[in-house]
Amino acid sequence: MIVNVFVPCDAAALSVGSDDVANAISNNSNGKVNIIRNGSRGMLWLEPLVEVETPKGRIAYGPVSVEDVKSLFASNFLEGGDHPLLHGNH
Amino acid sequence: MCKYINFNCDLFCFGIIAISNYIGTKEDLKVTTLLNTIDHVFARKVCTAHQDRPDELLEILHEIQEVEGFLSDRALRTISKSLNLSRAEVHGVVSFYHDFKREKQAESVIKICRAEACQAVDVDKLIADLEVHYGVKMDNGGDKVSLESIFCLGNCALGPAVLYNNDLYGRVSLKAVQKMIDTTREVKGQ
Repeated sequence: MIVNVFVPCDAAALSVGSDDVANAISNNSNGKVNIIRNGSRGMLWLEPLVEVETPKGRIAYGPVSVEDVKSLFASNFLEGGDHPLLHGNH
Repeated sequence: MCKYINFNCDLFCFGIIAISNYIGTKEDLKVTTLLNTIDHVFARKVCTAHQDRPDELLEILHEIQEVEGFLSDRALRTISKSLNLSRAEVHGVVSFYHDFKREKQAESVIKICRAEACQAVDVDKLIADLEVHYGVKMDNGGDKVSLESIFCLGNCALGPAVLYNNDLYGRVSLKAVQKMIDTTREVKGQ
C-alpha cells in the first residue's frame, strides 16, 4: 500500500531543509511512499513538519531532520508509530 | 654671439621637451578617451536583447551583475549610451540599491539578518564565531568569504536567518555555514 506523506515546501520549511528531508524519506521508502509537497500549517517552530495519512487521520512528526528519517522508518511512522517527534495523542 | 647661440640652443631644447611633453599628454589623453569609448561587449549584448529600452534598465543591470558579479564603469557607460540615458541617471539607480555592487565581490557572500528576532536568538554570537573562523570582519569585504548585514528576511520564527546564493537558511549555526560553503566549493570543483 502506498502511503501519502506531506512535507511542506514553503520558504520557512525550505530554509530548515525540508527538501533534504523529502528526498531522504523518498530514498528510504522502497516505493511505499507518495510524497506530497504542501504549505506550512504556520507552526514554524515544528518545521519541517512531516504528516502521514493513516486510516485514523493525519499524524504529524516534527521538527524532522535528515538524521531522524531512519529512526522514523524504524518506529513505523507510516502507520503512526510512536517516536520522540510525534505530536498529539493517538 | 656665442652666448646668443647658447641661449637659442637652450630655448630650442626647452621647446623640444615642452612639445614632446605636450604630445605625451595628448597621446595619454587620446588613449584614455579611446578606452572610454570601447563598449562593454556583454553590456551591449544585454541592452540589445532588451531593445535598448530605458524602462528595462533594472532588468539589464540585474542580468549584467548576475554574470559579471558587479557593475563596472565601462558597463555603466555602455548602458547609458545604449539606452540614451545620462550616466548620472544610471549611476543614480545603481547607487540607490545596495544589492548592486560596483566592485568584485568575495567568492562566498553570507548575508546575515541582524534584525530584532534574530538578535533575540543570539545572531551576534554567530557573527563573532564566523568572524573568528573565516578571519574577516562584518561588512568589511574579503576575498574568499565576506559577511554582510541585512535586516529581516521574514523568517523570524526560524532565526538566526541567513541568505546565501539567493537561498534562505533558518536556525543557522557556524557548522551550517561551513557546510553551505563546502557544498558550493564541491559543486564548483574547488
